[in-house]
Amino acid sequence: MELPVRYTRGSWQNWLGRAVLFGGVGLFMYRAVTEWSRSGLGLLADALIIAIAVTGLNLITGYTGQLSLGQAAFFAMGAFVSAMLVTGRIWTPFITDNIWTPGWTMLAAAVVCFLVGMVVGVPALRLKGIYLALVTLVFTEAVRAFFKYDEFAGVTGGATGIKGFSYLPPSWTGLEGRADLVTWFFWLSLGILIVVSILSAGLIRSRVGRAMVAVRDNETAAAVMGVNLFSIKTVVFGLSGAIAGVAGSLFALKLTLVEADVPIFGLFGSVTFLVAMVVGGAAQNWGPFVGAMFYVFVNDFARSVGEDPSGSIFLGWFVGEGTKIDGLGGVTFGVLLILFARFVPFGAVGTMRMWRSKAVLVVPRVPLGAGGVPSAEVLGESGAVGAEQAATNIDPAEPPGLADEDPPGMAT
Amino acid sequence: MVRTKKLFALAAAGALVLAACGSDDDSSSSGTDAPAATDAPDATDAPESTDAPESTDAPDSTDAPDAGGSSGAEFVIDTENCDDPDAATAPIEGGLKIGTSIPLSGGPAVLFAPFGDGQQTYIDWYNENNGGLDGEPVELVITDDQYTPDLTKTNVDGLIFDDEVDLLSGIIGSGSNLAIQADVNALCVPQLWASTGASDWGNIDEYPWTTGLLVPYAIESRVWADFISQEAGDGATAALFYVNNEFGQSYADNFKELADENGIEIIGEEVIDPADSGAPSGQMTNLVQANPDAILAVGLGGQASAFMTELGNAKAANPDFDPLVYMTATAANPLFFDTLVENGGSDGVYTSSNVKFVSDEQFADDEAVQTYLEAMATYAPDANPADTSVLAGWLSMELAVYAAQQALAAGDLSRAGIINAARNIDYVPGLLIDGITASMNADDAFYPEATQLVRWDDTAKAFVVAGDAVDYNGSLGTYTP
Repeated sequence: MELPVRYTRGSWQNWLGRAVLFGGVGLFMYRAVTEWSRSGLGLLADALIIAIAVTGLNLITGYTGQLSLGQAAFFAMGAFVSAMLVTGRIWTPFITDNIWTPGWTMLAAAVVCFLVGMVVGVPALRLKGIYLALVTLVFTEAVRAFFKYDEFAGVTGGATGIKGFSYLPPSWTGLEGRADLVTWFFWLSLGILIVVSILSAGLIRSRVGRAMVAVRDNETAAAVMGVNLFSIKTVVFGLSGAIAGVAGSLFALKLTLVEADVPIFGLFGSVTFLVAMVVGGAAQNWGPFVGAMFYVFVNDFARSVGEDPSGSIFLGWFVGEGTKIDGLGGVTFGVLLILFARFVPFGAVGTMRMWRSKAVLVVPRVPLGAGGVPSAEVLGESGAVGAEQAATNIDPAEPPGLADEDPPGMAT
Repeated sequence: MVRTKKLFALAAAGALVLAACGSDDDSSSSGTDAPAATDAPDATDAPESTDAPESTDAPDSTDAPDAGGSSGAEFVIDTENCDDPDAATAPIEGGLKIGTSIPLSGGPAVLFAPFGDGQQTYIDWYNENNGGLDGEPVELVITDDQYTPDLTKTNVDGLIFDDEVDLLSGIIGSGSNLAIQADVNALCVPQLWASTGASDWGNIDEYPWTTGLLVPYAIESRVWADFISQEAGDGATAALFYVNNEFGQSYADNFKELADENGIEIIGEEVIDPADSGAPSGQMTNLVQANPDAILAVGLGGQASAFMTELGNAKAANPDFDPLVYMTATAANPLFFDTLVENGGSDGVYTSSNVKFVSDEQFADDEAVQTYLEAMATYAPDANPADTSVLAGWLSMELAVYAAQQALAAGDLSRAGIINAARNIDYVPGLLIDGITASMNADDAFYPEATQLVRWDDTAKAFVVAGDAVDYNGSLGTYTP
C-alpha cells in the first residue's frame, strides 16, 4: 500500500478516526473521574479551565495572528465580575444570596469581557506583533492595578480581594456538597470547554474564520480582498476576551477567592496561556486542550521531582535518599519546556498532524460539478494532485510568526 | 519616522526584558518573606477588639502572666454544622496523620522550603524520642503549592480525601489559608497554626477550625507605635513604607489608627508594588525629605533588604537623616540582616520576634534550643537551624502534636478533640522567648500575642533586645470581619 493513504473528509474512515479520538479522550475522562485521586482530578479541572482560556487566546493569536499578552486581564476580569456579583457587591437583578446558583455570573463575565475586549481590539488596528503584545501587557497590569485601587475597594475588594463565596453542586447533579466539589468543577469545566471548542471550531470553518486566517497570513491582501479589518479584529478580540472571562469566572468560583495578586491574574497568567497555546499547537482545534494538559501535568510532575528528588526516575540514581534541592521543581519544568520547544516545534498537535500526514491524509470532498461528475476545475489536470494540493491548503497552517520562532513567553 | 520606529522598538525590547524579569519577581516577591504576605485580611477592623492593655507604656508591661490566658471561658466546638459530624468526632486510630502545603518550588521556595525541613525534623525527632503518639508514629505529608492559593486548594483536597490526614498545620501564606478556610471548616478538619499574622485566624465564630501561628500584625504595629511615643515623646513624627497588598495594608491601617491614639503625626507614606523588586530609591528620597522621627517599613522578602540597602545609602549621604526604623517581624531573620552588614543599612534597624535566635550565645545552655539544634543536626544536617523559617516550621508541628497530645490526655483524640485542645491551649514552647504567656480560649482567639522588640547590631552581628518583652496575651480577643 502506498503511503500516505488518502481518505475523503466525511468518509466512514474519517469518521472512524474521529470516533477513536473522541472515544479515547472520553475514556480517559471517565477513568479520571472514577479512579483518579481527588488532587489529580482537581489538577485536571484546573487544566480544563486553562484550556478554555487558551481556546480564546487561540482565536486571537493562533488564528488571527494578533500576539496578545492581555488574556490574563480578561481572565481576572471574569473572576472579579463573578465574585462581585455572587457576593452582591454590585447590584444585580438576579438572586445573589442563593449560593446554589452563581453559575449565571459566568455569562455576565462573558458579556463584560466581550465589550472590554472589543475596545482593546481597537489599538490592534494600528499595532502589530511585539508592539501589540506590549500594549496588551500594559492592559494586563492596568486591570490588575484597577482591581487593587483603594477608591473602589468597596466594590472590588481592593488589595484585600473578595472571599467567602462558593459554588456548590446543584442537587440535580446527584453530587453531594463539598465532598464532591472537585468532581462538580471537573464536569462543569469539561462541559464549558466542549461548548467553547465546538463554537470555536465552527467559527474557524465559517467565512469569519477564513477572514481571520487571511488577516493573520497577509493583512494587506486580506483587506484588499474585502475583509473588514476593523470588525474582524475587534470582534475576535471581544470573543477571545469573553471566553477568557468565562474561564476566569470558573477559576474564581472554584478557588472561592479572588485577589489581584494571584499570579495567574497577571503577566504570569498571560505567559502561562501563551505557553500552553504554543506547546499544544497554535491554530489547532485540539491545541488548547493538549497544551493546558501538558502545562498543568508536566508542572505537577516537575513539582513532584522537586518534592522528592531521590524518588524520581530521572534523578533517583543520582541523588541520595531524602536529598532536598531548592528550586529543583522549577528548573525541571524549565528544562522540559526547552526540550519540548526543541523537539516538538509545531506544538504537540501540530507535530502529531505532521507525522500522521505521512501515513494518512484526509482530503476534502471534491465539489461535484454538473451531472455529479467531479468538476474539472478542482481536479485540474490530474485529479489526485489537485486534491492533494487542496488538502494542504485547507487546514489553516501554523502561523509563521509563532511556529518558527520561540514564543516570547518561553524566555521567562 | 524611521527614528521613531527605532525608538519604539528599543522601548519595546526594554519593556519585554522587564516583563521577563517581572514575571520572575512576581512569584518570588509575592512569596518572599512574609508567610503572611499576600493578603492579610481586614485587619483594619482588628484594633476595635484590641482595646485591652494600657498600650501607651506597653514596653514596661513586661510579662503579665495573667494578661489573658486561661481566664476566659473554655471553648467547645460545635460539630452540628459539619458536613459529616460523625467523622469529626470519630476517634483517630492507626496513628495521627498531619498534612501541610508550603512552597517547595517557584520563586518563594528559596525562603520557605526550609520551613518544611523544620516541620519534618520535629516529626522525626518526636517519633524517635516519644515512640510516636499513643504508641503510633505520627506521619507528616508535605505538599508543594508554589505559594499559589489554587495549588494549595488542590493539595488540600488531596490531603483530606486521598491521604486522609487528620489535621492540617503550618500552611504558609494568607491567600493560601484563606482559599481553603471555608471548605476545611465545613469539612471540620483542623487547620492549625496557619503561618501568617492576619486577623482572620481569630474569626472564631465563623471559622473555629482555623488557628494562626504568627504574632498578629496588629500587635506588631502597637508595639512599634508605643516605642515611638516612648523614644520620641509628644509630637513625634512617623512615615510609612509599605507594600501595596493586604499584608502591607493591614500594617498601615493598624499603625495609622494607633498613631492617632498616641499623638504621632504621620508625615509621609510611600508605597511599593508587590511585584516590584527594584531599589526603592524614589520612595527613599521622599522619606529623606520628610525626615520623620520613625519609619515603619513593610516589605516582601527582597523588598525588605532593598529598603535597608537604600536606607544605608541615604544615611551615608544625609548625616541628618537618622530615623528609628522598624522592619516587620516577617523579616526578622538573622541570616537576612547579616548580608547587609557591609552596606550598613541594617545597623540599628528594629524588628520584633517571639522566638529565640538560636545562634545567640545566651542560649548555649537553653534546653529547648539545644534539643532543637541537636535534632536539626541529626535529621536535617543540610538545613540551617539559625534560619527562623526552619524554626517556625518546627513550631508549627510542635504545637500541632501538642494539641493532639492534649486531646489524647483528655480522652478525646478526634478532630473535634484536637481543635478543642488547640483552641484552649495554654502552653509556651521552649523556643519562644522566655517570660511570656501564650494561650487561647473561647474569648481569646489569637495564640501568640507577645513579642520582643529587637535591634540589629552590626558589630555584634546579632539582634540585641530593646526593652522588655511585651505581652498582650488575650488583648485581641476575637475577630469579627
